Amino acid sequence: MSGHRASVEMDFQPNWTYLPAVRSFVKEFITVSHADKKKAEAIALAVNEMIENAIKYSDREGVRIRLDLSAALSVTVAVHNHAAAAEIRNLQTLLDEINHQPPLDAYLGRMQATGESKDNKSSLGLARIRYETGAKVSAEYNEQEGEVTVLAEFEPPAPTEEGR
Amino acid sequence: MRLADLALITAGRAVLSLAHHDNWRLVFSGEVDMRDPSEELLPYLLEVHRALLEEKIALLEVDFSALTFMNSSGLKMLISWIMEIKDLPAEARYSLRVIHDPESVWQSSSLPVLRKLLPDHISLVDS
Repeated sequence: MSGHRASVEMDFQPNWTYLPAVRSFVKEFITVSHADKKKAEAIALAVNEMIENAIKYSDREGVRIRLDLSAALSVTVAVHNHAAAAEIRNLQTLLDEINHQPPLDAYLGRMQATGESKDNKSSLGLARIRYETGAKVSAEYNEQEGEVTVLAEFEPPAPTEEGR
Repeated sequence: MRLADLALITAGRAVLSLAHHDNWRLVFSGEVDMRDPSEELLPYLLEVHRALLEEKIALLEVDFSALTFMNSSGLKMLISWIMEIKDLPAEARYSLRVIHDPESVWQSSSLPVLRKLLPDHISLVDS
């Protein structure tokens, strides 16, 4: 089974009102290329969480998202934004914590921690992406420039007996 | 406030309605994707929580099957509600019967994990 190679890049202001439109577009775009509605829904969920984080923590205009879809059915999502150095360090700590635990343990641990937190930042999104969508989550930083790019990589589905 | 006075709330693209059939049932529909659901929806859920305790209701059905999306801030809101139940003495707690659509990606992946926060008082059933 294979899909079409495709990519798309969007650049917009860090404004919450874009979210439903971006989520909907991503879902439709991936469904066309890869013909898998559940996978498209999972990736749209991941994109939504990544953009919400970018909007919440961005300290200036310009959130950029890039989707790369391979013919082998892997998908990479990259969300780029600017953020204060303290927020970048918080993200590094959070990703280290999440990626050093099994996905379910990390997600449940964040749920328990967020239940005790009084602020409106859930810090659940990245653990949610890793557990619920199976994506590999990482980030690239340029602290001097105050830039961060969060990456979610979705592996192609395992081949079925029919597809071998 | 009584449960009968908490029939409906809308916030952003979400609608929550509460009605009594065989049991009290809270139905979520639309999408919970606002920046901070704790501002509008959580106070409503906590009113429902207080009314359930006052009226000594042992079971609430919560139907998510028509809710097409919930962001992680929405999950945080549900976690806050579950923690309110968890903080009660065991004999005072009520149970949640969560109705979900197994074909929905977010429902089939998020709700079983939420259940782990209070497994003796949350059950999951297919819509």
